[in-house]
Amino acid sequence: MAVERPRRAADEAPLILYTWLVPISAGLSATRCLFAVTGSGPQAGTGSAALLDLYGWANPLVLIIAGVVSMAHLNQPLRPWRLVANPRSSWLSREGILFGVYTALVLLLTPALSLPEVLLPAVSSTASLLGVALLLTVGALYRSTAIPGWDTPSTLVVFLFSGISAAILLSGMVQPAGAAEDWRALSVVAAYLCQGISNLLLRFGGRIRRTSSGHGRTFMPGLNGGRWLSLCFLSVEGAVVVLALLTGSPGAVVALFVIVAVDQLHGRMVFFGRPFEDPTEMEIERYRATYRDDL
Amino acid sequence: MRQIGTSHFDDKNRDVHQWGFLVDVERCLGCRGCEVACKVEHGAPPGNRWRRVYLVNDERHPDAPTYGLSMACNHCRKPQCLEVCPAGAYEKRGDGIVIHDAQRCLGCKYCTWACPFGAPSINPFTRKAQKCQLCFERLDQGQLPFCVESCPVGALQLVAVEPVGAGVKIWRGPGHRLELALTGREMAERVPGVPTSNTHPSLVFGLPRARGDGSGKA
Repeated sequence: MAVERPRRAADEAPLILYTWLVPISAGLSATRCLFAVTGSGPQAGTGSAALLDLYGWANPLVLIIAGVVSMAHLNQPLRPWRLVANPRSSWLSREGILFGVYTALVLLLTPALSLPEVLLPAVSSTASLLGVALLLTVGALYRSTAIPGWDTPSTLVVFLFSGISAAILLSGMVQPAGAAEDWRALSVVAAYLCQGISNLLLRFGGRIRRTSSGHGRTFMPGLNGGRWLSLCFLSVEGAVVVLALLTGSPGAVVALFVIVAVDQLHGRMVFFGRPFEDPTEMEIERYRATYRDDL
Repeated sequence: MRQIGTSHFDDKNRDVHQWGFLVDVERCLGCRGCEVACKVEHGAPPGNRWRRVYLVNDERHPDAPTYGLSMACNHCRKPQCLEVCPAGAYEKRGDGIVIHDAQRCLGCKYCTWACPFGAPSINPFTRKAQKCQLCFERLDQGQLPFCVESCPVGALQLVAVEPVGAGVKIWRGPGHRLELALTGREMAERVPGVPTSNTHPSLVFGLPRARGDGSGKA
């Protein structure tokens, strides 16, 4: 049966950008937290210290862009406070509240406010935890829908792991003071593994569920878009990881971050561009398929 | 369960806890009259249908039942649209009808993703959600919904669905075959074509004939 309501990824461009920027922001917060709590931040007066300052400015900028972009998704972008009217049962309301609190904490961490050193670990840790909570909330939001491709546990994993890979790569760009010699090598390998899991789950994930007629079980493929492109991404990322291991260059880590970012952006397009198959149509089709098997 | 047939809809029966649709799939001709009436009367834009008729087994497989399945918002007892709406644009009235307030709607589309029956849809012009409101204004005036009124064979009826507990309640209505009030999962298993849900849809079926069984009872 024909797909009832095909969707174009471009229709959801604000959500694609938002869900791509939020993991990056969470990654920036986690990196900042790592440096603040362990005291292993880059040494003053070096190029990497300037990069850390850049983290401080980049994070609120990323969040503000994410917030503005996500408002474009709404019919009434100038009344965003309405989003938080139903936190009791709506994941979107919870996400809105978390986003607001998280943004406020991130703004506190900007270099312009020069937060006292004593408070830095506590605020960084809280912001980092809220960043992870925000990622999980975004995942739970899509997990709690009736769209089979989204209603899988892998949705949570995809959002969380894409944040982790961003965090690891961002920390790998800077060699923290006192870190092991192979810190950079470890970070690219770990980031590659996280991104690989996220990549594969996003494009190859599926689930097994009972058919509506109760006759048997059927495999419901997950998000099937761009499987070959997915493998291409994994190959290119793997090649850059090998390059980074051989050279130990921070440039290779930056290159990997850029490729991973493109990979994640494309993954979001696959996620949101999947045809919105009407559940009833799908159930009918599944019933037919099951019935044919019985003959 | 207490059924109010279309001919028995009057003032004395209006004090109900939950209105719902009875879809008699054996009677349904698949003419889509209900779908058209709803669309025309409510002025739904192109691409938006608040009621849809799905033809199950329209390939006429000899041993499988063929029937039309007229589906709209089922005004569930646990409506997902109401649960997930961040702006509180959905409300469940005292008579069980789930209504949508367009003034409050933010157009976030969350309800269209969450409803297992695909009932809410986004109006491409207003960019707000819309769905079957069970013609509550007409109901308040003692009139039947457009879809029910337009059905030429009485396959679509308005019924009062009383709470029957969590289990299956079998009831033989006057002049009707076996009718079931089922939980969402059971409904999906007994009536192919209906999505699995745990929202307790207020939907009653006159069941299709079972395969190879000419008795008309499932």
